[in-house]
Amino acid sequence: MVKKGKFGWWVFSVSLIKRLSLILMVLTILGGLSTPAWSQFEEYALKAVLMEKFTHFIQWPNTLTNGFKLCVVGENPFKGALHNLAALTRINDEPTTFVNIDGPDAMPDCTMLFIGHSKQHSLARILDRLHRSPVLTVSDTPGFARRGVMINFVIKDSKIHFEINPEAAHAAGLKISSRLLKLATIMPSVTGGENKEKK
Amino acid sequence: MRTVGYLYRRRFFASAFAGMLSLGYPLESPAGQSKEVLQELLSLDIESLLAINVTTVSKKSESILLAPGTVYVITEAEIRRNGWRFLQDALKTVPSVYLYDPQSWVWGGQRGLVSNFSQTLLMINGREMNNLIASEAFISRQFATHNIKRIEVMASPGSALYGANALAGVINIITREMDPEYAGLELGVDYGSFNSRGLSFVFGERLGAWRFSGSGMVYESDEEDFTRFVQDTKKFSNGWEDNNLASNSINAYDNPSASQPLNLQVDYQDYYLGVNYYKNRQSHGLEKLRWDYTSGEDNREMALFYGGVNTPISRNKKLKVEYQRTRSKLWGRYAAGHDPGTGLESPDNLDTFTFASTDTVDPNLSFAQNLANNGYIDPDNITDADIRRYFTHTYSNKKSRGSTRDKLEIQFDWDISDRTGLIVGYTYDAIRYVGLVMTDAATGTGSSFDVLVDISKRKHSYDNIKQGVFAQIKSELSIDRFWLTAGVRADRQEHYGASVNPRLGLVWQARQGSVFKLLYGEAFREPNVFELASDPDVKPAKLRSYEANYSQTLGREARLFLAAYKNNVSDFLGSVGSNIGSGIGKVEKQKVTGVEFRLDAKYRRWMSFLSGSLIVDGKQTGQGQSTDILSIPTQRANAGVTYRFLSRYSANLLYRYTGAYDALSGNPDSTNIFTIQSAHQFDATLSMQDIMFSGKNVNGFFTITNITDATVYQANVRRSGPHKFLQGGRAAYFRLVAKW
Repeated sequence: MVKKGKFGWWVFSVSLIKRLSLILMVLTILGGLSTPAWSQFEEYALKAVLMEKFTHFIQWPNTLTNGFKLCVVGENPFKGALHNLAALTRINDEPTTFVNIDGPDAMPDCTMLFIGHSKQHSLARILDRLHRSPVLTVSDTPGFARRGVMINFVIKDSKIHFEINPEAAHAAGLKISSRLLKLATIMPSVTGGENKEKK
Repeated sequence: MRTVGYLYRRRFFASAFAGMLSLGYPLESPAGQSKEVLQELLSLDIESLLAINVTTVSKKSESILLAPGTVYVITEAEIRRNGWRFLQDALKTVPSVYLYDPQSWVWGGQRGLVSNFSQTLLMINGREMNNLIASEAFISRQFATHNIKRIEVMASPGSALYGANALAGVINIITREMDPEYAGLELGVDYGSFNSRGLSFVFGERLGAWRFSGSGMVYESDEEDFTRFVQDTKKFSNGWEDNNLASNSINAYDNPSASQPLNLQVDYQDYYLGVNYYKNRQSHGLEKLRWDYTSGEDNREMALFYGGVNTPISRNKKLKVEYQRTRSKLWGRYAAGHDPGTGLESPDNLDTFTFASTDTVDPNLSFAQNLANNGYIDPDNITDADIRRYFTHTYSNKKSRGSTRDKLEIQFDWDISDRTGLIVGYTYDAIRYVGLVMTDAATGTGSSFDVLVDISKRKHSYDNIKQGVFAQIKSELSIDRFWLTAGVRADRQEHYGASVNPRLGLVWQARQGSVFKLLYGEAFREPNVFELASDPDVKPAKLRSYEANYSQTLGREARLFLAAYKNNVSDFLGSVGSNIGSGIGKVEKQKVTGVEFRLDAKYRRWMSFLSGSLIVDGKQTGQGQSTDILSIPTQRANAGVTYRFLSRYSANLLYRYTGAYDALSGNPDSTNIFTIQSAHQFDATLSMQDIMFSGKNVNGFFTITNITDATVYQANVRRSGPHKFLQGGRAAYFRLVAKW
């Protein structure tokens, strides 16, 4: 293990350099043949779990009679994460189902609705369809909170943060705990003119 | 002048880079359906999720489940639920960790590699806090939990990334104020049995591009009174009954403690500057068998100053450069009659003293009084010569600047693709050790165990320069859900030459909630100053570790973790109970095979866990002998159950079991092997979280430890004199923290 010798870099012998090079070359070649992305995967697993955590701080106006319905409209970046989340845990202590929404009619039946990035051009219509329905809307598209989505994920410094539009939640009859608001960046709705962001 | 090494380094990087540049990865959608990772994340609170980072195993963020090692994580919520006040309280339920508590600073290690905790690297926010002179993960009262966000315990060998001292793994404390999002001020108060009291703070504030953060505590305690135990010559000083010093002189016990940890950091954009500091004073607890058991004192002071930059240099590359300056010193005394702060400056040699057979020694008097009564000294005029001659059982480098270390660390992280990451780094350490003066010879008891160090080493006469390069690559293989991690670190140490330590991890995330891992690692530990003093030719210890892990999701809210390992150590440096030769330093090989498990489950308002460890086989060989390992409990289990009520309160019951095990007497001159009986301990805790009171957020706990007041003994694994150690009885503590 230990080689005696005069102090210096040359003691990192030829065999060591070869070992290092070999390991790195083999791994990079193997890596070149591989498939899915784990960093992106972890981001959406984290967002999925945060969505579950949000429900601990939000009060819906009515008792949920048909369980907790977790929906996605538009492109679903979570892949299996929300589906597995619904299978793993009872959100809000309710039996939980996950649904990919195709058309607007089913949206008011949702308890929580994630609006995908692909719906940025039809966001206004979606929100109109949900008008005052007690559906917690969530997204991860820049500007969506200002446009009326209640919670919007953003990434800063490689960490997940979120914005909350309390006016939108209030209009839908949802009560958001001050503890959750403290963790969020508060975003007012766009009502014309310049809006200022406040923390 | 360019050397052969230079040319090979060029080839090394050229070949690696060529391979990487050939990669053209399509950005595909993630698999995203790992129930294990979701369950892991579901167990965290929202603040933890927003700040999620796991850094120990690969020196960068990654999922614990997919990390190429065994990592046990203790969260802030778990600490509060269980009412753990200090780091050692939290470590007691970690399956891989073996702790021995002589009521001063804890001894132990991981996975059967136990001694003075010098086999494990202890870090705060990724920075090494092992003391310099003994390489010990010194844990007394200076690591309170008031500022701990998470504790990551890596049970696998860590030398492939961290170099020396990470033989048996790594303990990394992540403090709360280091979270960039932490904002506010917390003030806490601790109070409890034995007049234990503490005041603590944590703060973080951002002002534009600047951020200021810190935490600290002032803690004092009388600590538990073990007078009755130390007077029990059958249990405490077994084997010394015929020794007047042992049987007649231990009349009292006093073990007050005080600690002042302080952490501060200033950040400006990507630059940072900070310090991790502590001062810790305690007596020696039950550590040594002494004829004066009331005046012992042990002081430790350590300051780690650091500054650096951690900056992205492109979308997928990050560079960290950090300089650290550490100061570490200790001073104290084992016996009365001398001020440990007395400044001795380089006497020529170390003298020892024993009374002549014609002297009259009264064991009820202090050492100094006996010297005076027999005419050796004038008590009103003790000279430096007297001190050198008669009082060398005091140890000190208080008057020195202490040992110092300058360390430069450069780390480059490159996410080559979405499934391949590379870390390369370089470290330079220059350590100047200041020796200390210590001998027990004058007291006449337990003397054969301790090591004499040349008194001239109070000045820094022993230097050690080290350099290390490390590289690690993690890649997802073309076979679906397989990750391969390979790393190697080469260290060049001034006195021992080079040590190369590779590690390899294969992780398979199978379907249906299963993760399998196969791990191999090598690690080493350098001898410390004490070990060098006793044997100049002593070699570094070398570990080869083989491990298999299995994690399985069970139903909706339960998860099982199993680990099996085999650790083979050559030239083991430690004093684990051994009846080979005379004990310390004589173990040429040690093999430990064991298993660990942890089961977590949640059901509505109930949470529970069951964990444990089993040493299947443990052998030591040396001097032509082979023997079973002694003094390590081979069967341990922990169980906890928590009930949440009124949404912000929880009641918790923790049970700890240690099976009976054979131990070698702590008396180093004895070969007596005896059995330490099985032990059952229960702790009960009531905790609250996020209670709003007068506009402040209040957290806290009230805990009763060892509620049945069970009598529990531990082996004296370092064989420091006492036959065995008694553990603490029933006690109660509370902590209240208010946040603005």
